[in-house]
Amino acid sequence: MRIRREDLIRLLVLGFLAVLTIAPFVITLFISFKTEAQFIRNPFGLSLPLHWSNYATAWAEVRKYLFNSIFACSIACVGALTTATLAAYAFARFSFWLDKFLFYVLMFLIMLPPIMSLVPRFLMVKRLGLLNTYGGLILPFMSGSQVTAMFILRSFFSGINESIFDAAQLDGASEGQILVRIVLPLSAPVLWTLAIMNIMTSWNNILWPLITLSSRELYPVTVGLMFFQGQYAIQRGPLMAGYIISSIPLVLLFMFASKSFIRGLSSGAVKM
Amino acid sequence: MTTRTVAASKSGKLLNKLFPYLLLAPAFILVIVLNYIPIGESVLRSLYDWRGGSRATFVGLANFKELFQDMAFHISMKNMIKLLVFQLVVILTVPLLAAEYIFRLKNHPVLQNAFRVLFVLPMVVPRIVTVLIWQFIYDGDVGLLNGILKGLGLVSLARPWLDDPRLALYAIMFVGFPWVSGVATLIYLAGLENVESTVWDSCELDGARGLRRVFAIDIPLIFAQLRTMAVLTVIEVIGGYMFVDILVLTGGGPGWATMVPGLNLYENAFKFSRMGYACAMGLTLSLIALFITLLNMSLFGKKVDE
Repeated sequence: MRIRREDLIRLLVLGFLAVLTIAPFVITLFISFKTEAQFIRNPFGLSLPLHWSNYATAWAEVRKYLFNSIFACSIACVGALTTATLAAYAFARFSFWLDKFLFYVLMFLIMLPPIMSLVPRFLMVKRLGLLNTYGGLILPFMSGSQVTAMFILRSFFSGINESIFDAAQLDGASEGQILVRIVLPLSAPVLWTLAIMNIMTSWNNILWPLITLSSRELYPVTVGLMFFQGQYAIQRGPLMAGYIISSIPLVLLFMFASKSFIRGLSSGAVKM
Repeated sequence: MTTRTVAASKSGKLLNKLFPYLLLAPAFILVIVLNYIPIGESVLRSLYDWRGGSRATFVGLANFKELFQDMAFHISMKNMIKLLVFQLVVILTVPLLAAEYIFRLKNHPVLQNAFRVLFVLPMVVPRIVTVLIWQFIYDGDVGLLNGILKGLGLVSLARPWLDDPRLALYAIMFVGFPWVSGVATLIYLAGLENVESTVWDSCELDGARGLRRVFAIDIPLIFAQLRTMAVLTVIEVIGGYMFVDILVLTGGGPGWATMVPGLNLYENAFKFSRMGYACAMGLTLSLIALFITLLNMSLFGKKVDE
C-alpha cells in the first residue's frame, strides 16, 4: 500500500497521540503483574515472570464492589431508559394539552448542574428512608439520566417515517404494540448508545454513593477502589490489578456494543 | 348494546386522551420528587441558617453575603475559572485536530477505524481508575513522570507534583493528557462526515487546502458541534465534574490551592453540616451556569436542542 506524504504526517501525529493516550493504561497493565521487588527493579516496563496471584488478591477485595456496581448501574440503566422511552414516545407521537410546557419542564433540568440541589436531594432520600440502600442510589441516578435520554429518543422517534405507524394502525396494532414491536427494534442502535453512556455515567459517579452509603458492603466499585487504594498503597501489583479488574466490565460492554455505540455517536443522533 | 358501545368508545376516548400523560407519569414522578422539590427546597433553604435538622433560622440573604466574603469560595472560584478556560481551550483544539486527521485519512479506512477505537477505548475506563493512574504518574517517590525525568537526566525537575501549591492545579489540568480520548473527537468526526462530499470536492477545485480550509470551511460547518461541546464543558466544570479528580488527587489542597466550588460545597454540607450555606452556594453556581448557557444561546441565536 502506497502512503502519500500528507497521510504519513497524519499517521505520525495520530500515532503519537494514540501512544500517549494508551501508554498509562499499558504501564498499569504491566505493573499489575509485578511483585514489589520487580516493581522496584523495573517500575514501568514488562517484568517476567508474570504474577497472576496479584489478580487473585485484588479479585478477593474488589469482587463485592464490582457486583454492587453491576447491579446498581444495570437497574438504573434499564429503569432510566424505560421511563425515558415512554416519555419520549409520548412527546414524539402525540400532541396533548401542555405538551410543550411539560417538555420544557424536563429539558430545563439539562441546563442545571446537579450539584445545585445536592443537599436537599440528599435530605429527600433520607426522608424517604432510602439512605444506605440501593434504592437511594438507583432512583436519583435514573431521575437525572433519563432526561438526556428522553431528549435524544424523542428526536429519533420523530424521525421515524409516519407511514410505518399508519400501516401498523391499519393492521390493528395498539399503541403499546407499535412501541414494543416496531419503534424499539428500529431504535436499537440509539438505545445501545444511550445504555452505554448511561452506565458509564452512573458507574463513574462517586459523590452520590459517597454521601448516601455508609455500609461498606454496599459500596460501588468506584468508592470501593478509593478504600482499596488506601489499603494497598505500598503493594502496587495487586493495586493495579484491582484497577484493571474494575475496568473490565465497561470495556467488555463496550466491545460487545462498540459498533452500534460508535455508529450511534457518529450518526449525529447524539448531537444535542 | 348501542349505549354500551358508546360508553366503551367514550371511555376509550378518555383513555386515549390520558394515554400520553400515563406515558409521562413515571418520568415526572421521579423528576418532581428527586429534582424539582429539591430545587425548590434549595432556593428556600439558602435563606436559612440550617444544619439539616428541623430547626432552621431565617437569615435573609446573609448566606449570600457571607459567600461573597468567603476566602475559600473566592479562591475556589478563581481555580474553577482557570480550569474552565483551560478545559475550553483543550476541548476545542486537540479533539478537533484528531478528528480532522482521522477524517482526512480517507484513503486508509482500516487505520481510520483503528484510531477511532484507540481513542474511544480509554473513555470506557472508569474515571476513578484514570485518576488513580494519574495519581501514580504524579507520585513523588515512584511516579512515572519523575521516573521519566530521571531517565532523561533531569533529576532537578522531579518533584511531588501534587504537593506543590504552585503546581498542583496545573497537574490536575493535565490529567488525561493528551485529551483526545472522549466524546468530543467522535462528535467532531461525525460532524465532518455528515458534510456533503461535494463540499470537499469544490474545496479541492478552488484550491482551498490545509489550515485555510480548516478555518474557512471545516470550522463553520461543524460550528454546532463545537458549541455543544463548549456548553457541555461549562456545565460539567461548574457542576462539579472535576470533583472526583480533585477529591482523590489533592482533596482541594495543599491549602486551598486546588479547591473548587463543588468540593467546597460538599465540605460545607457534609463535613461542617452547614446545609443552608451549601444551598446558597449551589444556587449561586447554578445561576452562573444558567447565565452562561443562556448567554451562549442568545449570542448564537439558536436553541440548544436544534
